[in-house]
Amino acid sequence: MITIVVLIALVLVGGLAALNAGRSDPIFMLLALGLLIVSFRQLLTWPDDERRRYGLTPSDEQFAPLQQRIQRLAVQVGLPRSPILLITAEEYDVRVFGSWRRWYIGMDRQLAERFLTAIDNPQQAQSVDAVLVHELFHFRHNDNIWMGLARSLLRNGLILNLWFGCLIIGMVMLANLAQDNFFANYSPDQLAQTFNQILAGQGGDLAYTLFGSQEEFERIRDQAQHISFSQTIWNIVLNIFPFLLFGGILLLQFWRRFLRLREVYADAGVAQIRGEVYSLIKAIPLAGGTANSQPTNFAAWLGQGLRALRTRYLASDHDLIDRINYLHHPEQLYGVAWKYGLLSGFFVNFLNLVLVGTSAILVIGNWPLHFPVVASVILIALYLLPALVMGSLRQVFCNSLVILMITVAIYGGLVLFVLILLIGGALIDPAFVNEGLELAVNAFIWYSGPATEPLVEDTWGLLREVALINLLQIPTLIMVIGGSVALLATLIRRMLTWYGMPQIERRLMRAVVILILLVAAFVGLAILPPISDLILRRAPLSLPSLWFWAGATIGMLGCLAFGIWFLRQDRRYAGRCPHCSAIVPGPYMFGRRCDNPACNQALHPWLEAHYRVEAQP
Amino acid sequence: MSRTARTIGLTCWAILGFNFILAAIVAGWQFSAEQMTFLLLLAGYLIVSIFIFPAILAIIYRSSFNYWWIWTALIGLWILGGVGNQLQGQVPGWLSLLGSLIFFGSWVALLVGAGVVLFQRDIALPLIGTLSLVFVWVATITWWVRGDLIAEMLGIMLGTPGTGDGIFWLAVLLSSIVCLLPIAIVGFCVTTVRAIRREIRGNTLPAVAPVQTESASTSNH
Repeated sequence: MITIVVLIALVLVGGLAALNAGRSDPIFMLLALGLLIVSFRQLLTWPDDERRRYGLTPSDEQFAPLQQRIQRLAVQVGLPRSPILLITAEEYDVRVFGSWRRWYIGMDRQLAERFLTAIDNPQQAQSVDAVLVHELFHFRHNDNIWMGLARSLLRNGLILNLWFGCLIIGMVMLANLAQDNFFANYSPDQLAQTFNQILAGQGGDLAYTLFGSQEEFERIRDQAQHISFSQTIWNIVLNIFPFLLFGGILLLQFWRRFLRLREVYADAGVAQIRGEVYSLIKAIPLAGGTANSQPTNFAAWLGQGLRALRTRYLASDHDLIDRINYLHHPEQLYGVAWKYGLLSGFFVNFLNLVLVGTSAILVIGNWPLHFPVVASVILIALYLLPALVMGSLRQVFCNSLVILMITVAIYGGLVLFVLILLIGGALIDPAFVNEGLELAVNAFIWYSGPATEPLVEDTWGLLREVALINLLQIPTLIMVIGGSVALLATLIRRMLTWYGMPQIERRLMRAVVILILLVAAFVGLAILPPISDLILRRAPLSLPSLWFWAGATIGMLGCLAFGIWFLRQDRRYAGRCPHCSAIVPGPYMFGRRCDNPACNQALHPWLEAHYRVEAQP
Repeated sequence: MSRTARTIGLTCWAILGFNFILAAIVAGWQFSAEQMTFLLLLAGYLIVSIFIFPAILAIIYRSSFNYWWIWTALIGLWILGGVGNQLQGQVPGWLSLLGSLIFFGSWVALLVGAGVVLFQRDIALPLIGTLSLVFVWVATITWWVRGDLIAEMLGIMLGTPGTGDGIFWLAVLLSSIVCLLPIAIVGFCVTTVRAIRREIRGNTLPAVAPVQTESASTSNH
């Protein structure tokens, strides 16, 4: 979840910042900064907004048993603080929301009353506890923060870009109208005469202070008359449109999946804490049992339609059957590799299209492989974690290969599509390609006028160059991503043999995530720059700046420090039983026990959750 | 009303009274040029304090901005005052002056009201976004429809007959937005700081609301 949110943030904020490439005014940098500030701020004000929106008020004495139950279960789940129960008279079901230090569980009064009645019955009380533990696990996984941030980023990214587009188009049109009038009707000399009527003797000074000398005025007028305002507006539309389009697709297509993932992880928490999930499965109708009423008028009908649309695309209620299925068959959680490959492939390529479809390409174009490689390495490594834990090497190999091939196929498909379009166009009429390229170039240059000379002299030569650069990227992607994932799989597998590590249940997965990020950073900083230089036929390391070397040095030092730490941990804890300190040789296997017959304890008990799905007979 | 609010209110009324006395002195007596300059400065003070007066009143009675009819009344006064101001030369001078005073007074009160609402509710960001769009597009469309606005502005500055007619309300709208934007930005900063403070404080609501006792409920009456 964190990775996905970070990727979204990187693309939306980084993409906006990269739009500033080649511009002296920091307008897009400010927009990127604004997006970050507004999104974080929205997370901070979320509790108040939610309370105001649904009329949620602190539970009174009537619901004290429920609040006390939440407090008791929060301790059991290991939360540093207990969320506050809020009640509303509106239709609300049960939801958690909050920021870093303000946690709330919201519930509609009808449901809270049902819960109150249920806790008097020992069997039904189990179900209430299961629901509450499920909700509390959202706080333990920081779902409120990450989902809140992802939602704010996507929503604000859309709104901010739309607003900015409307504002800047209006400003360009105003500038166009003003310059038409101004340069046609006024000059500093004329204005000096006019101002002299108001401020006798000082009009000239005022006019020349405001508009410069007559010569300077004429120079600016000539420059301004060469600006094509229609091209400027075209440029704005083309820069903003990809953010709107792909941001919208991400919101509609991936949001529900994020929500489902969140719910499934919370369900896993219930299984881990309670040792059974039957009470949770039984409780789902109890929690979500709001009856659908028939609309009585047009407004009600419209409201119900909008709610249905929201549920279809943005809410998680639709996935209840899936959730119950995963509780029965947790191994199916991540789905088959090809489905995950399609999902992650589209995700990575959509985000990549946001970057390459705008002026950000002026920066990203120098490093075309960085985003797809780094994002794919991280997503594939995260997907492989369960397979690595389960210890199936064959599954790890097959799954990585399938996901890698699908991701690269989508990338390659897009590249081929553009190439076919260009070559087809050139076959029909080379001038058509030239016009298309000119249009594309105009999309990335601000305040431009029409080109006086053709941009492309040799169309076929350019197409050969473009085809070579783009087609070379495909095998490079396969090799770099494949190599990085293989390295990660080997290291993670080795880390899984650190049985003797103290507090391993908390430290190991944190170390694995750091390892994945470090390998991704290493690939981005050390492996991809020379490869990009080679593909783009630049002098080796010709582009890197001082910032690049500073980043690369820090990255290398980080990798070195992690390497030393890794070797020390490996020497100290690998293949050592945490219970009897006996040596346990051989590779990691899921559910493995100590070889010492006197000990025979599970080496990684924290990785196993034993729970019942069916009710006890 | 608290003692401070009452004191501020009484002081305001006293300033207003003093202003009327000053106005009577300036209008009724003959003075030398030096004395006249001094009195003109006093008249400037008079005009400024007349505009500050509704602002202070609006701050003291800020809770009244929770009622829609206060807003309607102020907007009504603002429009009526604006019409009075625009009818300069066609109606008696005192009526036009009264219109102008009402116009500026209600405008100041409306701005204060907007500030009050912005500090109470977290609506600064949508307001900033909407106002900036309205500003740019109103200016663009007006320019498109009316043509050279620079000439209109120069005409107003030079008092050229036939220029600037009808542009009054555009100028009022745009300058209102220009005044509102900084208020909205300050409102945004204030509500952000408030949200950060709330966050630092953590869960501030009582976990279980205390039962309202008999004595507590009676003491409220």
